[in-house]
Amino acid sequence: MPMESLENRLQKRIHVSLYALLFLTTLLGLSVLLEGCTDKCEVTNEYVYYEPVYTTVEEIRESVRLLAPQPIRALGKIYFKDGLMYVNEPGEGIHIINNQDPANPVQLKFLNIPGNYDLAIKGNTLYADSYVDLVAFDVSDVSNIQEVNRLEGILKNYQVMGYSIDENCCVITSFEERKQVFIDESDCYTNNLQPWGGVFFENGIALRADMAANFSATAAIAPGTGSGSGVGGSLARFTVTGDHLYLLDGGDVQTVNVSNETNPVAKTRTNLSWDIETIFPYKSNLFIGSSSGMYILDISSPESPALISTYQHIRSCDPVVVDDDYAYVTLRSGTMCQGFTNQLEVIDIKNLSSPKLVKAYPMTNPHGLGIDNKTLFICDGNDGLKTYDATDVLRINQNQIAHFKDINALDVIPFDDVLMMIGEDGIFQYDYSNPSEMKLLSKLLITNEE
Amino acid sequence: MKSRVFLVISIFFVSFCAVGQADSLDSKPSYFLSIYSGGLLGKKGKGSAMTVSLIQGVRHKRFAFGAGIGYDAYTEWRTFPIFGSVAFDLSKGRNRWFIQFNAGYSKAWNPTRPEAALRYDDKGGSIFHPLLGYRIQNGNMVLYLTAGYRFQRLTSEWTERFWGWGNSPNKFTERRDIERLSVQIGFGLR
Repeated sequence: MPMESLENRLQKRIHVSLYALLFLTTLLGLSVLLEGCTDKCEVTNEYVYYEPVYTTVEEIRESVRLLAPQPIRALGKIYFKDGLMYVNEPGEGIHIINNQDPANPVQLKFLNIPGNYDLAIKGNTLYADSYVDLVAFDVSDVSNIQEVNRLEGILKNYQVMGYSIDENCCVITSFEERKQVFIDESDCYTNNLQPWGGVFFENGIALRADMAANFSATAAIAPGTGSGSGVGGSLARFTVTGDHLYLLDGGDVQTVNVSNETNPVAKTRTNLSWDIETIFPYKSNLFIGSSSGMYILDISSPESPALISTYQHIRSCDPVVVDDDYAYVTLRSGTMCQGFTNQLEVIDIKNLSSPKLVKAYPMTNPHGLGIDNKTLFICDGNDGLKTYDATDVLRINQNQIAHFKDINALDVIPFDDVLMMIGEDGIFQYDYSNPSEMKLLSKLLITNEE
Repeated sequence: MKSRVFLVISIFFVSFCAVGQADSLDSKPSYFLSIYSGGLLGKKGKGSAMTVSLIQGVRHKRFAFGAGIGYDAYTEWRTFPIFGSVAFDLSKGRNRWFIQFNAGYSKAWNPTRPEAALRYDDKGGSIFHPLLGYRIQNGNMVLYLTAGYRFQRLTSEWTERFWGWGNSPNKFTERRDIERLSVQIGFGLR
C-alpha cells in the first residue's frame, strides 16, 4: 500500500478542518437566527353587521297615506270585517281586499303605515300600530281612508327589533347589511378576536344576534268579538272587545277605551310577563298566550284587567283559541320559540281559576289555529292545514276531517263557512260549509317582485 | 427575513465551492431510504417542535431525488407534510457534505383549541425546508446529521358555530407562518 504523501495528508486535514469550521460557523449562525424563528399571524376578520337606518318620528307620521293596490310581498296579520279583508304586510302597512266573493277576492287599496304589525277594527274605525303610535283610521269609505286620531308614544315597549327606541326622536326603520374587513398582524399569541355571539358595535349601536329574526318575523293575527268589531286570527296582539281595545305592548296589556271610536283614550297598563305573545277575548275574559304559559284575565271591569289564573306549560310558542269550556293551545318549537315540543293541548277552563290539561296531541310544527262550531282548524307549519271534529276533546286525533299537505299554513280565521288562511305563499280561502269536503275557493299569492 | 435569505444563499454558495472539489461521481442510479427525527427550534418561549420524516427515492451521481412524508408536532399545531426532495452532494467519498431542499404541502390540524363557539376549517399550507447535512456511510447503512431552516405556512378559517342572523356568520381567516431552525439526525439505506 503506497504511502500517502505528506502534502496529500496535509491537504486532507486542511479540508476537514475547513469543513468543520464551516459547519460550526453555520451552526453558530443558525443559533443566532433562532431569535427570528417564531410564528407570525395575519388574521383577516370579516364581520357582517346591520347598521340601523334612523327615521324621525315626524317623517314616519307624514308617510302614512292611502295608496293604490300594491303587490303582497309578505304576510303578517289578517282581519275580517264587513266583507273586507285587511292583510298586514309586516312593517309596511295594510292591504285592503274586497272579500264579498271569497272565490274572487279583489285588492282595493294599500294603506301605507310604516312600522305596522297589528290591527283591530271597531265599527268604522281601524286601529293600527305605527312603531310607537296607535293610529285610528276612518274606514267607512275604503276609497278615502283618513287618519282620524293618533295616540302618540302609547307603545312604550316597542321591542320588535330587540331594544327600545326614543319616540321623541327617531326610530330604526330598517337595517342595512354591512360587511367590514379587518386585517390584524400579530405574533399569534395576542388574540384580538371577539369571536362569539354575533355582537358587533358600530356607531354606538349594539345588536343582539336574535334581533334580525325578530325584525323580519311574520307576526300574528287576532280574533275579536262583540258588536262592531271584526274577527282576526289566533296569533294577534291587538283585540277589540266591547268598548275596549287591548294591546300587548312588551310585557304589558295596554287598555284603550274606544267607546268613542274616533277618539281612543289610553287607560291602564297591566304588567303580565315579558314573554306574552297572543291575545284572545272570550266572553268577559282575555286569554293571553305566552311562551311559558297561558294567562286568564277577567275584564268584567274592562279598564282594570285582573289576573284570574295562569296555566303553565313548557317553554314554547303558544297561540290560543277558546270555545265554551275548553281552550285549545298549540305549542311549537323553533329558534324564536325555544323548546322541543310540538303539540295541541286541550285545557279545561270550566273553572277559570284552575285550568286543567285534558289531553295533548302530537303535531308537527303547529302555528295558528281556529275553531268554529266544533270544527277545529290547525295550521301545522310545513305539514299543512289540518281540520278536526273537536266534539269529543278526548278523541280529537281520531276525528281528523281533512289534511291539506301541500301548503305551509301559519294562521286561520274561520268565519261564516269561509276559512281564511295565511300561509308562507299567500292567502288561501276554503269553503267549509261541509267540513268533510272543504273546497279551495281562491288564493292570493305573495309576489317576489320589487 | 434578510438573515434567512442570507442563510439560503450561503448554503448554495457553499455548494458551488464544493462542486469544484469533487473528484469522482457515482456511476449507477441506486435506491435510498432515510428516516429523520429531530427538533424544530424556535425563539425561546415561542414554541419548539419535534419532527419525524421518511424520504425515499433515487440517488444518481451526486444528486438524489425523492419524495417524503412526515409528522410535525408544534406547540399548538400538528402537521402531516408530503413533500418532494432534491439533494446534492458537496463532496465525494464515504462521508459527504450535502445540501438538500424539501418543498411540499402539509395537512394541518390543531387539537388544542376549544370547539365550543367556533367551527374550524384547517387548510394546511406549503412547507419549505432547505438544509445542510453531513452523511456518514458504512456499507449500505447511512447516518445523517442535518441543520436547516424550516418554513411552514398554515391557513385556517373560523366561523361562528351558533349564529342567529339570517346571513353569513362572521369569518376569520388566519394565515400563520411558522419559522424554525431544524436540527435532525437520520439513518437509512444508501
